[in-house]
Amino acid sequence: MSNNSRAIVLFIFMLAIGIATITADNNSDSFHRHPAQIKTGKNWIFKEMPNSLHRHTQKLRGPLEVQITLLGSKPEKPGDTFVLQGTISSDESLGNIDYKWGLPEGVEVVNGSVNGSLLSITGGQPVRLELTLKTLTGDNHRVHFVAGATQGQTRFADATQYNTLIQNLLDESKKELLKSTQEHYQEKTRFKVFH
Amino acid sequence: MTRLLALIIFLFPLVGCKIKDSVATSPDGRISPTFQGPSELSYCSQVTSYSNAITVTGLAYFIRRNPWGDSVTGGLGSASTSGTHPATAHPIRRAEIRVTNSSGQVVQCGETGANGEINLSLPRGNVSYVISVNSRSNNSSYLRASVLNMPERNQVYSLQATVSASASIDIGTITASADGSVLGGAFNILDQFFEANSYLRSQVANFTSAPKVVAYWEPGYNPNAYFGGSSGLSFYLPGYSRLFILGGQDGDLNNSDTDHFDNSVVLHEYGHFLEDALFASDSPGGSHNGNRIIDPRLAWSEGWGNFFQAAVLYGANSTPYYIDTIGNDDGSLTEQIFHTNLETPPMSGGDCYPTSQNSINGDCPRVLGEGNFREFSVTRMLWDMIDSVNDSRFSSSENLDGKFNELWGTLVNTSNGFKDSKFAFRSVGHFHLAHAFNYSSTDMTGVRGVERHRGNTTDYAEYVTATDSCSDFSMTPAGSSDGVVGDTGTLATSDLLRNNDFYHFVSTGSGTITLEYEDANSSGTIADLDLYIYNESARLGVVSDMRGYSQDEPGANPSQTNVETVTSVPAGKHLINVNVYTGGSLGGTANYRLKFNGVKLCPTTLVQ
Repeated sequence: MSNNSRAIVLFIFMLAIGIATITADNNSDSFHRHPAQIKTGKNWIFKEMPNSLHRHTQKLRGPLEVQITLLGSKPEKPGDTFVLQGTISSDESLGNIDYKWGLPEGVEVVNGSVNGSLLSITGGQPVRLELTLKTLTGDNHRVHFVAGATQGQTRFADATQYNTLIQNLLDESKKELLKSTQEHYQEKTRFKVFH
Repeated sequence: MTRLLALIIFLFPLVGCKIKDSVATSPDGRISPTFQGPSELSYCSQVTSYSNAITVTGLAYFIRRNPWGDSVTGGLGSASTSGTHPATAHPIRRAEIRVTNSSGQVVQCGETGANGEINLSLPRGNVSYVISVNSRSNNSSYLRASVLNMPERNQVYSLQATVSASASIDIGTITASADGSVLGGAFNILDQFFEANSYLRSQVANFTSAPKVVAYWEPGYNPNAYFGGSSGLSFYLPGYSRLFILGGQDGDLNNSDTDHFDNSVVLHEYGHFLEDALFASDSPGGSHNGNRIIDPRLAWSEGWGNFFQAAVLYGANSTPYYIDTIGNDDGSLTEQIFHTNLETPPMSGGDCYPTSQNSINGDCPRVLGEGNFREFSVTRMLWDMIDSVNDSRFSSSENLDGKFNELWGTLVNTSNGFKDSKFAFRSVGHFHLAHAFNYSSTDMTGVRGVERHRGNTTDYAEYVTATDSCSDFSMTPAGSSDGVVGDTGTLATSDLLRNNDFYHFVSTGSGTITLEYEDANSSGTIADLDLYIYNESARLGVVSDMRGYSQDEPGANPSQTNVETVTSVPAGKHLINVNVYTGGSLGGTANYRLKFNGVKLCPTTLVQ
């Protein structure tokens, strides 16, 4: 096949792909089906609805949720102090919540309590607790925070972990994996359409 | 012209472009929970005979950390088999054995015995062999399951010993520990699957083993990372026969939430696998706290999972619990994510009595039908079918002991059973309906009564057909004074029992679904009813799962008929949701009817 012939064949091939793409775009409902009919006006009521990538089960959890946030800068060398904020939230009002910080070796408390209790928490109104710490080594430390409560015969709690030096990297890694999961999901979904 | 321009724009960058040949990967090589990685190493099952052989005997065990405590304090115990909260040693049962020579070639295959026995015949010689007991089993009489590290690698965990083949030898007990590499975690997960299959064999005639399942688990890894999350998560992926078990958090096992020794969680997730593989699940998935009215499909599925773990772990004469722990005694903290009694809810006046409507304490239903929407209520009902202890809510005997065979028979039955293809949007109402049809001599009235279960699908996914021969339906909006809690006007917070009606409708062709409604008492304060038509996934409030919806507001004239219309509804199974809009004033009772292409939809018998 001459170079000219190859060029013509290549052009036709590209043209075919292009046309197919435009056609597919025109039929994009087959990729993303929209409701048969939409009337607007109350669409705000759809908010707060989760729309997970993959339908999957989730394990039983109580209404409590805890988080750790670093306030200020990371402790990068021995002797650096840093402040962690533990947040306790609940989707319902609860009484008698106890909490505890788990500190590894190489970290000591400068200010704040490593455990305590709250008389109550109001649903939707998080409680924030601060703990000032000092690193003795400058290494990455895993700090833990847990909060729990008992109602009648049921105990429930939530726990979280914070890495003093590498938390940002870990969070970025999770974002990358989420992106990867999304890409893989989209490719599989698209694959299904052509079958 | 626009299309030509689009074509040119499309073609131009193709010159010299490289087609993407791989998907993105995270730094640790993970891609997606559904990723099809390399094939699992072929199962070692071919036993070879040697004329000049030695015999290797021994035992394979694993160490399990144990939960301790009660509803006030507790956690997960030590990795040591002595001390305050000691670990325990257990045989590795029916697991693959693979023996390799120094070149990695397989010289023998086998399987551990019922008590973890190793008994192998190897060619005699002045050489060494590596005996690997692997975290998988492929014995159709006992168990078909693999515990692997991740879908992207599909590698098995191995407990290994090296032997010299110069003479027969007893290698004693080789043990997978509960600390260090935590190999015991992998074998504990496998052993829980073994227990589940043993339980089913003991209860169900002709049951041998469930189909193969794969559990993905890695020490220190939280599978929630696949979804960008950081809270500890174990989950089952429907349609893939894959469980993901929580191994820790960012490399930590001793102070974080882990599930490899939380047998309640492992068996609960295996229960989800069973419903997916052997009967049916229509659960939309999602979070659940055990403290509120939830989608009844989710309540059924989670209630089943809670029940199944209890059935396997606790005897019919025992009090069943669900226990999930954080950290362990070897770390700086340990706690309980969840610890609850599954048999007896908090009581007052002989009734399940919550401290508040959404109390986690018992997940108590207050009105008839509400139990169908609460997962622990579903759990207690199922437990009452099999236990031999009458809880204090029953003034007389439950008359329901040891009915697991009926329960299972109801679930796997494809003809008027839970698995019947006529069924859709399955919840406990479907279970009651199918059980009553297939086991009519068993009286479930008492058990349903204490849990306020509706014994049919009246409150959720009632089957309707276009017969034009029924009275109108009625909807009376409910607010906080009627026991509704947490309703902010969104679909996510709408009371699914009181302010919603759901119907299961199958259309053989496309058409229009109409909701017509009138003020029932001409008060001029009619409820604002909206119409949502969902597909079979029917994640409530998720627009992409809707075939269409209509949200017009009712007119001011009390005598007028208000109409909501969704056109171009395709053929298929639909979940029709009539929802009270609670973002404004509630209004009064409305009488309504649903029509498909002008013909009224009426309740029809699903089992017959």
